[in-house]
Amino acid sequence: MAKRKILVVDDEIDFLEMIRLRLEANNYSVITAMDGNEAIEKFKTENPAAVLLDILMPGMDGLDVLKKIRQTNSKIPVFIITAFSNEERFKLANKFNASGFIVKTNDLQREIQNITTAIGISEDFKGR
Amino acid sequence: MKNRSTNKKVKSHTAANLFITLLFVVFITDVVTNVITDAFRLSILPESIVDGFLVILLAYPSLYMLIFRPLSREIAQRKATEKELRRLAAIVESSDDAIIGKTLDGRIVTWNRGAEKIYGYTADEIKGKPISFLAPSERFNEIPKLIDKVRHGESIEHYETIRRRKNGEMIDVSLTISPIRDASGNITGASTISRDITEHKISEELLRRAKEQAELLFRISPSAIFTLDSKMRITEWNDRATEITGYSKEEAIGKVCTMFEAFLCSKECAVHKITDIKPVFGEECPIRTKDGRTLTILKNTGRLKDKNSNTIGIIESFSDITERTRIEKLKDEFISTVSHELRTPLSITKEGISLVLDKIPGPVNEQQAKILTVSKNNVDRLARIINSLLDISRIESGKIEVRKEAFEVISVIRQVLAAFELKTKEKSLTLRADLPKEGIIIHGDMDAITQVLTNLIGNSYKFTGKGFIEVKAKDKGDAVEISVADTGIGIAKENIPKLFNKFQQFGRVTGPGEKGTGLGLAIAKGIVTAHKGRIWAESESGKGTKITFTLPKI
Repeated sequence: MAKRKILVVDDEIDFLEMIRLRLEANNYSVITAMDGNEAIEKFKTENPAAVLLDILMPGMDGLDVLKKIRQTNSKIPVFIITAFSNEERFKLANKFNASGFIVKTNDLQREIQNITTAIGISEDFKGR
Repeated sequence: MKNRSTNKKVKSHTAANLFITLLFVVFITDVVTNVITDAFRLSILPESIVDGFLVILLAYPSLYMLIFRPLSREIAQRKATEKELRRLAAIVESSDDAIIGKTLDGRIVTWNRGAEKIYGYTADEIKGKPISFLAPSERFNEIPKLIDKVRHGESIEHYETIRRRKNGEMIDVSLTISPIRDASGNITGASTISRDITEHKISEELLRRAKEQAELLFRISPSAIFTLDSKMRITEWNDRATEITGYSKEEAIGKVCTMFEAFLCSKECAVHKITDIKPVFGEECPIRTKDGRTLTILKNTGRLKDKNSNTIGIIESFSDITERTRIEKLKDEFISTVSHELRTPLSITKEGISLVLDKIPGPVNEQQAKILTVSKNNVDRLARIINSLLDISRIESGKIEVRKEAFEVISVIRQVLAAFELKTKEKSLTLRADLPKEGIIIHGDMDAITQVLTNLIGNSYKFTGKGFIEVKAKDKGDAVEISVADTGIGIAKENIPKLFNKFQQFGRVTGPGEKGTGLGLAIAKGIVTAHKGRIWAESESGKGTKITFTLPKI
């Protein structure tokens, strides 16, 4: 079975590198984007199984990207990457049907397990 | 009542008079009849005289009316006058004022009970003594002057001076002195009414001091102060108000505050009926100064009331907090930005260490793993400090959001306890709970309360080497009381008051394990206070600590 693709969007290249290593260790293949436009582009061409999306980015920010993704695909798991666990923006993200959150300072291995679960649910859903 | 008894007496007088008159008539009639009869017998009287006798008999009632009636009336009047005099004497005697009669050479001749009360001397002790006996030596001079005025027929009213009581105490008195005249109008003495005005003088002095204090406070206050009358017109305006708003006293006084353009925050002024106004405390609002700047002020107001508690005006005090507000906002933004900026590199470092520790890039030897674990723990600690800093900054700026949602607090306690179960077991500590069987629903922020419990139990865990940690909850009717007690190192008595301050760490733990931030209890207090609850500590060095907090149910 081919590795599932995950699109990770963050303007912080070091963070992208770390999360790429972590995801690959969890048997995912990783595509990265460093801004909103690149993210939309790669979302269309690469057909990822899930998207991890930084909310604070220069230019088109995470919320705009989420909005665009939801216009074409309402089911794909999209996780919001944030430094905080209790922000106003969270509520907004929820409004656009984000699947969950990845808090940067939390244990990433545990966060990725949540992502795996979400992908599983979404694929089960697709299968039916 | 008095009138009726007087009437009765008058009637009995009349009866007596009638009786005497009757006796008199019988006597006179007898004498006259005998004389006439004898004269008739002697035939010296003509028959017409006998007719005269009848005339006399008939004339008698007129005689009675002319002589006896006025006589009896005069007696009755004299008696009434005597009674009136006795009544006046009784009034004088019972007066609280001292009423003193004295001769023109200043000797005391009459002395009422009021005088006895005020000066302390009995009438027997003082009668015949000179009036100067009552004056302190420095007031001797005024007495001849006063008597001299009276001698010339003048009255003296409300003359305030000082007199000495029998016990030596000085008292403030107000004197009214009038001449006493005899029937022919000659001045024979003087009457003095003296009133003890010591109390009055004291309250006058207190009033003066209060007024002086109020005026001084109005002048030197670092806050602007102004007052409004019942029609919302500015009546007083201090210098600080001028400094802040730019409007002078002359410009401000008399203006209706709704018209006064300096006040954008016209919460008070928007209300037309002054009686509807509720005093405000610590309200922040913007105002516009005379030169068009907008300032943020912090204001308090209070009602001015008359003696019947009717609102007759408003007093308002405000200070300019524009600069403070700006700095606070800057600080909040700074903390928020800094902590965000700090978190990203922190999370990258942490994840890097984790990746190596999880052997993803390749094998790690034991020593390397040990070093990396310590590094990771300290990165976690940094993250905790940043989180706490952000929390405390939110709490301090009053921005802590207390979501009021109904939740069951006992199960929340159980959850937090479950999270500590393994850790305490590893340390061989007993984790005890004394919780009510029934759940307790409260309204509050579940996450925040979970944090309070985690902070408190976490502290106990950190500072307790052996023994137990006990969490208790009690239903207190309209509130729930929760306590976390331990058998740990305790806190020295002198440190208890500082316990809830920021960055206070007593009994720092050395060796491995989670290090504290010194913010846990400050945050707990902030959260409990935001829920309108109370938090306090009981502790004894070496014996343990008990932190208790209450949360209102609604």
